[in-house]
Amino acid sequence: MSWRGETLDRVVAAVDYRAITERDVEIEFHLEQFLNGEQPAGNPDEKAREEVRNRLVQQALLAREAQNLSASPAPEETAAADLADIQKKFGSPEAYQAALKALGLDTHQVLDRLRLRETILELIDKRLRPQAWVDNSEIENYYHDTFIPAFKQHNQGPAPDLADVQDKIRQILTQEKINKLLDQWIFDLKTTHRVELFSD
Amino acid sequence: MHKYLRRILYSVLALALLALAVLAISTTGWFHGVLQRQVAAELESLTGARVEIGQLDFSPFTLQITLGWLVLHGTEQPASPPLFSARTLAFRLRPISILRRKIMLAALDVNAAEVHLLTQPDGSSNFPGPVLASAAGQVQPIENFVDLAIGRMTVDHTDVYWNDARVAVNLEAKNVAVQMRRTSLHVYQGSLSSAEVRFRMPGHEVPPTTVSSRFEITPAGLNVTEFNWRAAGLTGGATLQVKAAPAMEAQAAFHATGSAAQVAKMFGVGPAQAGEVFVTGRAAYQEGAWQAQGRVEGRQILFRSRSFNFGRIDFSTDYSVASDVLRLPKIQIDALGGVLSARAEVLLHAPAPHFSFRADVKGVRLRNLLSALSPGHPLLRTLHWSSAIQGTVDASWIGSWKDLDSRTDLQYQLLANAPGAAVPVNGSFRARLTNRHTFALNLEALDAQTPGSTFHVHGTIQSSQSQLAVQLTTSDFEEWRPAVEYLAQTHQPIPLKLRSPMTFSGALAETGNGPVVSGKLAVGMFDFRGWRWNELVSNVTISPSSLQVSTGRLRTGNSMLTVDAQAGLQDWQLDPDGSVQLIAHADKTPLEGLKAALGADYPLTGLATGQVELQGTPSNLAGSAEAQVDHGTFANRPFDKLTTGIQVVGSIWNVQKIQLIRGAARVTGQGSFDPATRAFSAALHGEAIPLADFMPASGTGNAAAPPFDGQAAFELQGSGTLENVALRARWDIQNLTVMGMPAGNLQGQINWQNRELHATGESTGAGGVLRFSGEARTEADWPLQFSGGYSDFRLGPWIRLLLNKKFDSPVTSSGTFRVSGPLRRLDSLVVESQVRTLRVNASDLSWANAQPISLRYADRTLKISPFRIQGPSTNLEAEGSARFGEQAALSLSARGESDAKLLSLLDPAMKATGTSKVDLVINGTPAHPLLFGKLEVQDLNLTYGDFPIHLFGMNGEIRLEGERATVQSLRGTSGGGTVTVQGYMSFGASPVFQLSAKVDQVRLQYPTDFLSQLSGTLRLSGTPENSRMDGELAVRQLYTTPDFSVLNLLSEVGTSGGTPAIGAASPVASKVRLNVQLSSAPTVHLDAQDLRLVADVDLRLQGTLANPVVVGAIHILNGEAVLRGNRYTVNRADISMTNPFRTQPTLDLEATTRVQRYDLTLDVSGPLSRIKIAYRSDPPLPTADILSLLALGYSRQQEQLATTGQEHLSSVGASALLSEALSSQMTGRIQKLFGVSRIKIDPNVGGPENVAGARVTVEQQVTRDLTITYITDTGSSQRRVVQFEWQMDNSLSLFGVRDRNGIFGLELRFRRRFK
Repeated sequence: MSWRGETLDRVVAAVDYRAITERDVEIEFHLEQFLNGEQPAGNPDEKAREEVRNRLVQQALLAREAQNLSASPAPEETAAADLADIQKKFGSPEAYQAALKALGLDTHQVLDRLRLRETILELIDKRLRPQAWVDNSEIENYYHDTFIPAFKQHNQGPAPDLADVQDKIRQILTQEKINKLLDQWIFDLKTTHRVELFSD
Repeated sequence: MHKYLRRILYSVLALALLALAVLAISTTGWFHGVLQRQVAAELESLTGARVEIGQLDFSPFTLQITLGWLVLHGTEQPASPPLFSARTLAFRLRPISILRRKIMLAALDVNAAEVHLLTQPDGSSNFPGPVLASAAGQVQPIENFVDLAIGRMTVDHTDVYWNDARVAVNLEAKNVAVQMRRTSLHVYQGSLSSAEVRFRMPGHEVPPTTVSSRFEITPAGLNVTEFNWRAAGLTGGATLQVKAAPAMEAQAAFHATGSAAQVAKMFGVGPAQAGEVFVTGRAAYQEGAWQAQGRVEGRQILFRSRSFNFGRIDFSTDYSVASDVLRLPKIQIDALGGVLSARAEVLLHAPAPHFSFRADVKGVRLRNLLSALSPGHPLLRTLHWSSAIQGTVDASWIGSWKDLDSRTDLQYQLLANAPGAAVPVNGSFRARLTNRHTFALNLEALDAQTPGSTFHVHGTIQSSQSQLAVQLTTSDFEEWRPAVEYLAQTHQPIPLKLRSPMTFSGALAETGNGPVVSGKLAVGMFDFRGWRWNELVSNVTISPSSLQVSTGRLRTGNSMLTVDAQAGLQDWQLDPDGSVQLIAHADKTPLEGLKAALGADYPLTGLATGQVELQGTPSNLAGSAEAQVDHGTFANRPFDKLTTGIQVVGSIWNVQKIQLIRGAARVTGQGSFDPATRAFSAALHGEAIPLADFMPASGTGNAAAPPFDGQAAFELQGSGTLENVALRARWDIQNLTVMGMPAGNLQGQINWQNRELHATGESTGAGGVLRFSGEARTEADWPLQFSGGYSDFRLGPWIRLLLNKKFDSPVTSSGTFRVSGPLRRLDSLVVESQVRTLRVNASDLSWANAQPISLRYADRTLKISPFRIQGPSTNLEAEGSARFGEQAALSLSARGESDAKLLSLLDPAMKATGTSKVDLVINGTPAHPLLFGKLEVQDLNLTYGDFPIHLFGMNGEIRLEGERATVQSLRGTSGGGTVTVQGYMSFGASPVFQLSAKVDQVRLQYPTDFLSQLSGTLRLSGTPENSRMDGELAVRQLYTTPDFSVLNLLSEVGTSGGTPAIGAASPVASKVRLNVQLSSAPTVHLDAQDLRLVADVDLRLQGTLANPVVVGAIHILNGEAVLRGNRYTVNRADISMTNPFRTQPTLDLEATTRVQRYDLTLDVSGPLSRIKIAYRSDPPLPTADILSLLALGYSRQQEQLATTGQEHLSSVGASALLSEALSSQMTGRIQKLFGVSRIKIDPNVGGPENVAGARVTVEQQVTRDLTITYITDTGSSQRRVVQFEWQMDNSLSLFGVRDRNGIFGLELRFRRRFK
């Protein structure tokens, strides 16, 4: 008789001594497929695995930050609305159910995941939006350097005036700044929290 | 007793009879014969000679015996002169000698006597010797045979011959004692003494001498063992041995000491005044000739006279005399800081001795020599030269400088240590002095070099004529200053400073008519009387009788003055009858320089160009001159050009074509003047003359202005003499201003003739009308009578001129005036005026007199008749007098009512209404007036600039007591409260004031919308230049104005940045320092429509009244404000002002409010000009959202995404482009975090579907707590969502949605926070 071990699971990362296992990575991979309206199937390759693991680490850091800041969780109806949107992607309820089964999570678990996501998104918005101030010169630059060329590339006729589009441009630039701030914030979180990555 | 008396009487009678008998007998010839025989016998006994007495006279009364033609024959040959002969020999016996049995003579007089003592080679002589009473062949050892005492002895015209040697003897002696005794055969010893011997020697003055001598006469000769003499300042001694055989020989030794003064006097050798002379020597007579040698020394001999003072001199020399030659081989003289080593020889020939002398001079100080010679030549005292002289002096002469031939060769050498102020000199002096027939000095060379000069002179000086060539070059006038100033006989320093070398080369000659100096003077740059000249060159010849300057040239800068002049002098002064000639050309020559050079003083400056030619005598000159002066001044008034031509004929100066130009102003004319008769004529015309150019500005600050200005024109014609002038003049001044204020035009004329002057004038125009006319007599005191009138005459300018300060209030008057009195004594003038109208307008105040006013000014006193001044609220009666000058005094009184507007005259910032009753008397002096009386203030209303406290209805009394005004109690109201003022003010030289005001419930509006109710005390004290207001005020209550709103307050604060100023801008206010405490007691409450506060005030007002500064703090304990519908709760607030220099409130406030579900907190801090507001919200929102909530009631997020339907999108493409860009941003983030894209495009508000087209969201806030959102997309009109949110209260809200399917839902949300 040969006794041979079988790896059931292993830790691929740890955030503040909280483990992220390979199983978590696989579930997250399939969940992402599910949220995109796809049937969860297959295993992530090495690259995908690494990307998912990184995303889980970021989510853990942000979730921890939300916990530390006592951020209010997102309303349930928001998660429910998201789930309803996901359902519509599958075309039929049967396909939805099959995907849900393939995912290996029930509806509540999915709602929890969605709610956590919304919470994180709200945290990001609240935390970073005040710092993402856009002044008029940036709006003008975007208008002249980005919008006008892009508009002329796809459209005929005169471009709209700046006054007509400055609000939209302000939103775009705000979100752009939030994204940049998010990268920096995540970087700072990684230095202030204990993050360990494990490889084979 | 009778017996005794009888005996005495008989005795006396007997004596008298006896005396008479003796007397009678003594007059008889018999007695005379007896006496003569007796005297002869005595003389024979005494001398051993044979005595002949030609005549004998006896005076019994004086016991005097006079022997005439007395002869004593010795043993000489009969043909030889007798031993002794005398024309007369008189002696007077002393009566006591009879008792003493000794010959005591009161007097012995010998006249015309001769003593011939002959000694033979064998030692014998013709003197027989006394016959002594002794046994034959036996000699008594000591036998006195002469013991003579003579009270007074004279020997006149007596000669003593010893063989051929003759000695004349003229002497007078007193108390002579002669003793002789024979100690052995033919050996006689004797002594001779006299208390006072006076030798009479021609040419010599010998002082009375005490003499004592011992001698011995032996057959071998005479041995004077001791001969001492003593006179005033002289002592000496000598010994003498005379041997008669085999040949006459004599040896003598002598010494003498005496004061130099006495020796000099005795020998007539010069004015020695101190010091001692020592003479020692030995003399010998042998073979018929004398020899002597010895030494003479003089110590500290002061050789001084009126002509010289050589100071202390030491000299010494050996001497020897032999064969008629006196030799002084080693003369050494220490004098004048140096040494003269000399030798001299004198050939003692008859008739006059020959002198030869040579001296080596070494180290004699030139300074000392000049000082020694300066008493006779004061000029030498001015030469502070220092040098050491060395050289040689050779001289020879006969007798008294006859045939003098002297050569002097001296060198001056620099001293190593010259005195500080001395001028070091080096040079040489070579000269030959002769006296053939007359004295002549041939100065071969006199060279001298000083640090700044070189000097060379050569020539001859003779008594008849002299000629010296002089060459002087100097670059330092200071070396010659004392000498030049001495020669010029000036006591003031000559104001000359050389900036370059000056040379003079010429000659000094003496022709018998005085010295003549001629030569060429050249100097480069020099300063004279502060004026710099570049060059002066001239040939000059000057003598006591004439002065000639030829080719003189004086240059400065580009200017040139050439002069040729000649003048006759009289003893160096201008001869009034001498000829004078002057030719001068000037080219831009500065007149100031000429004034300085000539010491002239005339009120004209500038650059002169022209020429002058004059000739004649000073009293009768003729000639001409033309001159032009550019850019000059006349009496300190500038002008551009002055031209004139002058003709002088018979000393009458005719000034023609006078033209004086300044800008547009012109003065032209001509004139003439005769100095002899003092007659003149003049005709002048002037036009366009600005008066201001002739008068400097007067006053200070704003009042500075020329006293008079205007355009003047005049015509003047005059003639006559200075004593009797005839003059006609007219003037016209247009646009006359007085102290900058228009005064109209002024015309007038003067007519002056025969000592009567008439003048008229008129002024019309803006200054009113003034007319005057009058006359004066121009003799004695110049009595004057003028009169005139004026109407609407503005006095303001004249008051401003008189007071020299700004005075704007127009004062006009009308009336008449009269002036009389002596014009030459202005103090005695009398001015009277009848003022019909007098109007004063000052600060909305108008006064006028009710009746005419009489004024009279005389003897420095102005008297004002009683008059009344009336105006609105004014009715004053005044009268009095004022005395000016010494014993100035005021005596004025005023009663009535006056308007309080007058106070604005004190300070323009002060506005007052009301009246005062005036009852006062003004004494004192115009400089220090004293006011007595009282002012009753009635209903006075007073404001002062921007000062917020205004006074109304003040009533009270102010007492005036000299220099003090006391406010008894002045009570009024202000801002609904009462104000009571007390205190005092003092005037005079140092005015002070001390006032206090008690305020009770006075409302003060400050800042703009706030009313404070104040109570407390204010005190104002100090001086007008430095005063202080302090006090304590309590804020009782605080109100706002009815239209107050917080928004307006905030906007005012935002724009002004601070509190409004409350100062009163005036010069008086700026000198009042503040220290007023403002506090609330207790807290103050403010209730307004949209503001409620409870505050604690603790402020202090400091700074000045013109620039007050508030420091302290206002603590707002709590409060509420409503702003834009939001109710703010003021949790805390502090308004602090800590800047001591500026009121700069700093706010620190925290207020909270709730909008929608947000608790908003505002932290307002910082100075009002830079308020910083920090916003906080709960739940947290960005600042912009908070602002949006505060301003609009909804967050900016919502506003950003809400469109009002007015968003203009030019095309769907633009919207899609931007939406896609926005979506990509959102998607990217989600993708990065979660690996999936966002479901909704709109991040906040969303519809359930993912649409490709643009989505339009409209959000509208219907009310503050109700918001409706409308969402649709452009792709389908069916897809629209409507949702609303109603904020019912802080914790409860109702949320409703109508989705695109028409399903409507409501949601009630309850919110509670646990902190």
